[in-house]
Amino acid sequence: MTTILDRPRGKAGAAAGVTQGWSVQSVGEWLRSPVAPYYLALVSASVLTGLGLVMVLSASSVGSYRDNGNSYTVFLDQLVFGVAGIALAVVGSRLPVAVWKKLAWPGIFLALALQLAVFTPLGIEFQGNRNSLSVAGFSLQPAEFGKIALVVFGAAVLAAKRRVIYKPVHAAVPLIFPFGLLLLGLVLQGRDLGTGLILLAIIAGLLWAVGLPARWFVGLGAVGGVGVAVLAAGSANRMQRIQTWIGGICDSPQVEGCFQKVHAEYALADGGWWGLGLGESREKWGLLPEPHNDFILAIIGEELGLPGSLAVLSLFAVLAYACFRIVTQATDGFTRLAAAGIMVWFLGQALLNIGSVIGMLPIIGVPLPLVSSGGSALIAALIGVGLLLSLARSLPGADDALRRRTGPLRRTLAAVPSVGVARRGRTRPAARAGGRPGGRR
Amino acid sequence: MLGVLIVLSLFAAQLVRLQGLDAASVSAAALGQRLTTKAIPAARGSITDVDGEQLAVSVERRRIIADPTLVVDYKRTEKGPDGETEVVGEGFTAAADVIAEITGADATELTRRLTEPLGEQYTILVADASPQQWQEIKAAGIRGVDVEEFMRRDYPLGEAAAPLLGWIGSGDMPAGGLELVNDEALTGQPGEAVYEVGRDGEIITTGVYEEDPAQPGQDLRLTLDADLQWRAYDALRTRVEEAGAVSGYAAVMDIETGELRALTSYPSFDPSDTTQSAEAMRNAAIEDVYEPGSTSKLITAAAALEQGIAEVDTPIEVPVTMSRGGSRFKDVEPHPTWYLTFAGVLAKSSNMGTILYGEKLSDQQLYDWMRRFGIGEPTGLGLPGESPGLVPEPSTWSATTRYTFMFGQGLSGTMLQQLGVFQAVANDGVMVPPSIIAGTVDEDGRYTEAEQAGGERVISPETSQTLTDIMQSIPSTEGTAPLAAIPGYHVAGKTSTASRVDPDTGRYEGGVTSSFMGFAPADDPKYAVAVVVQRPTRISEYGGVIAGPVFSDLMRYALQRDGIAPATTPPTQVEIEFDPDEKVPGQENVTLGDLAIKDERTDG
Repeated sequence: MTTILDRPRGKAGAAAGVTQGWSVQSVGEWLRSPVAPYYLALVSASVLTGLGLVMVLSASSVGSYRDNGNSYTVFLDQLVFGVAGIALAVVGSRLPVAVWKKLAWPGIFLALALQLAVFTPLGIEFQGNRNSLSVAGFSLQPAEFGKIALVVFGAAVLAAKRRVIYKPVHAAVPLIFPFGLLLLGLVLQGRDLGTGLILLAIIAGLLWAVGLPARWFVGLGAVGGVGVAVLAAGSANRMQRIQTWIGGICDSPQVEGCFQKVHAEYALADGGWWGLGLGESREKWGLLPEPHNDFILAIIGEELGLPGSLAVLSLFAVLAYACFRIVTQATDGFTRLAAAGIMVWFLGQALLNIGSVIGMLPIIGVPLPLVSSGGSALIAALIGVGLLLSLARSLPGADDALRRRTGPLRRTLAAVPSVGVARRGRTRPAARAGGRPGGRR
Repeated sequence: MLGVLIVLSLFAAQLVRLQGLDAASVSAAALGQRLTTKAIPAARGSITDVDGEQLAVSVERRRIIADPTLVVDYKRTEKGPDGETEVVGEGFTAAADVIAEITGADATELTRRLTEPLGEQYTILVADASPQQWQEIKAAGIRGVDVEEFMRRDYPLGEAAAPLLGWIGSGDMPAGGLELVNDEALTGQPGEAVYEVGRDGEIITTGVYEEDPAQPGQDLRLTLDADLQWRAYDALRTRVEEAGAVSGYAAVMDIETGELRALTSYPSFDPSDTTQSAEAMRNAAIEDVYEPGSTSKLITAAAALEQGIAEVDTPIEVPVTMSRGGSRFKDVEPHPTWYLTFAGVLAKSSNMGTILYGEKLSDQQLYDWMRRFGIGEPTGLGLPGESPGLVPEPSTWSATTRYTFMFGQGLSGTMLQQLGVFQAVANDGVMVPPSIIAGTVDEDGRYTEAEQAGGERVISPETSQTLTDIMQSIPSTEGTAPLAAIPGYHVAGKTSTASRVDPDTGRYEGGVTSSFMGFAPADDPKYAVAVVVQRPTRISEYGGVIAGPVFSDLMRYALQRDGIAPATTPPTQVEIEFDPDEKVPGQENVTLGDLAIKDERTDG
């Protein structure tokens, strides 16, 4: 325990995969500590958010200039949302878990109300989709907030029913019926298939985490598979998407339905091993659609190369690991379920997005959490991060350990490079002797 | 967690494949999709006058085009009084209004062009706009409105030099005149730019950009003087219209070098109008042939002097009428028997007097002298369509051809050929071919002088001096063409009023060709000027009256522009008439009348 407390600054380095001279043994030891999930989640989410802001600026600059006459319009909006979201995340991370739990019912009702409001004159219809509200000049997508509300609500009600969960009625009411189905129905009514899938995944993930028997999932999975097949076969548009996904027909962007997929491939290939350099993307010049949104990973790969795109995958892996640790270490049912819900939400959405961009999944159209532009999505995701950090703090021993630290000022200073450099200089010889006997060169 | 890691690993492997292993070929395909090639037009060389003033110049212009499928989404916004941005117009009409305000085009017509485009995604809004107008349109930010660059050929002198310079027809091809003859030098080498473009065709600033720059064409410098050219055209036009004539030509030539300072014809055409027929666009000044008439008597007189048949004061008794070759000849104005010297015959332009001494020349001699002065062959000016004229060979002559030849009928030639005779006489007997191109100026401003043909002596300096002395008596207040005189300068010149062949019927039904040609200052000639008016119907028919004033105007302008001082001595006087009763010096019983050449033939 003391070891950990003496070396709080090493966590950032460990989370980013840089050992900074730490031995394998000491890193492993730190990872097993109760504060590791907190810092892993904090660092991975922070880096993803920061990277997102930078890449939104780069990817949106050309389109923003064309549409608004100002390269920074999209970025500045995103920055404002980012700052608001970070403030909410800080507040959220300080809220005791019990308070989060109390927000479950108000949250789900608010989410449903907002989702219903989409179908009032307040709603905005865009390209056939009706999934946003116009509030004070901003466009708000209530479904994004529906995700966090569903996670909190689901975790709260299922935690209470943990002991009777084997009874189908208790598993289904009130999470699936009526709230889950209501929310999902409203989202699908707005023709937002991507968000619907995420909501579905959150519900399934929560049920899995609460311990619903596996045979239920087999049954539900079979029903779901048939449903998807029927839906797909019934729509030419969906069939085309599947065709372009696995049909191997996309050898040029001119082939119908292949435009996005091929231009995403172009962007990634342009980036190559080491990238064209920040700001150097070619495909963002109106060629790749949604370069700062659904396809931001392609622009990251184009500008920052393979290290950039793999770093995004690694950061989500770290975030997933942090969630997983909370799930496994939590003693409280709500904490465990909420962490599982967040994990399914973030990772499910990230994998759907990345899979679409790199051609391993059909293009569904979900943003990359924390990275893509979009105010509602960013704020909702940062609230989710706040919840995750609050959960991490509630782990046994974690809050204690965090409180004994000298406070926010010390933690802030720990990120200043000069301190890190000094430490690195001092510890490197030890690392060579211990961790890598042969040395690298 | 394990599932997540497996999926992430699969994704990482796919990324390695996309960004690493398969990247090269896909990236090449991506580049291929973005690359575009644009031709960079080479600037066509200018044509300038002798001082560098522009006569034909290419200017950059813009063609405003549009894709109506994009323009339809246009929203015109304005800042309202409260600072809010308001939409004040939408779609085609709003875009048309914006462009109409900038270019002055008709908004209704612009809207029509958008609603009825040439192609689904292409229409021409403004065919010819300035680069500045395009910048303003671009700033308005109407998506789908684009531009094509092109070079427009401008001719500052317009009609005044059009037949000479030629013009640029459709497809940027030169059509006629100097533009055509010197096309190779004027045309540069077009360049090419290869670069990456985004969706709307904008250059990707961080992408590939390779440019093979265009090589501009050479500038052509003419011997022409723009002011003189304009004045010549203007004076000629005025005179042709006043006289109700069919057409006219005028030229100003530097005597020493043969360089043309002006060469013009009327009617002309607007070189920027592409809808006219090729017939109307000919260069009449060098293509039209006509029977020269009395100016040709200069050749007969020169031949007589050179052959020793006559001298300046040779007495010639000109009858009222006379018969030759079965035809009756007379002079233009009826007169009693004239007692004229050789000089007087030329000065008074007597046909019969010319025949009387000219018939001492053989057919072949007459023909050879014509050819020697360049009649019957192109002058070597090098412009397209120049006519050689026609001098029939003696074997084809009829009974009267020999006589009409002597006073310039029965043969045809161009104005420049006639002017060449005057140039040779003025230049001490050395004929220099006319030229119009002074040289070329390349991209770096280096001037290369055009090669000029050398002169050739056709008559002796003495003969040329004699003829000059005689011709000085014509354009003077006492002479036969007082309107051609220039106060203060001594001018040598010759009128002509020739029967004109109607080009349609081929008969002498076309009225007359009235001309005046000459040079000045007579004691040290600088310029030769020719003015020809075809078929005047008003004022007069006489060359001295119709063409004389234009000659005088142009010559005075040319002399004064060069700062040539007026004469300080009285002009040389030659005897025009003789007294038939005067005794021949040294021969008591012989009078000049006895010696005179007279009509002694009765064979009719």
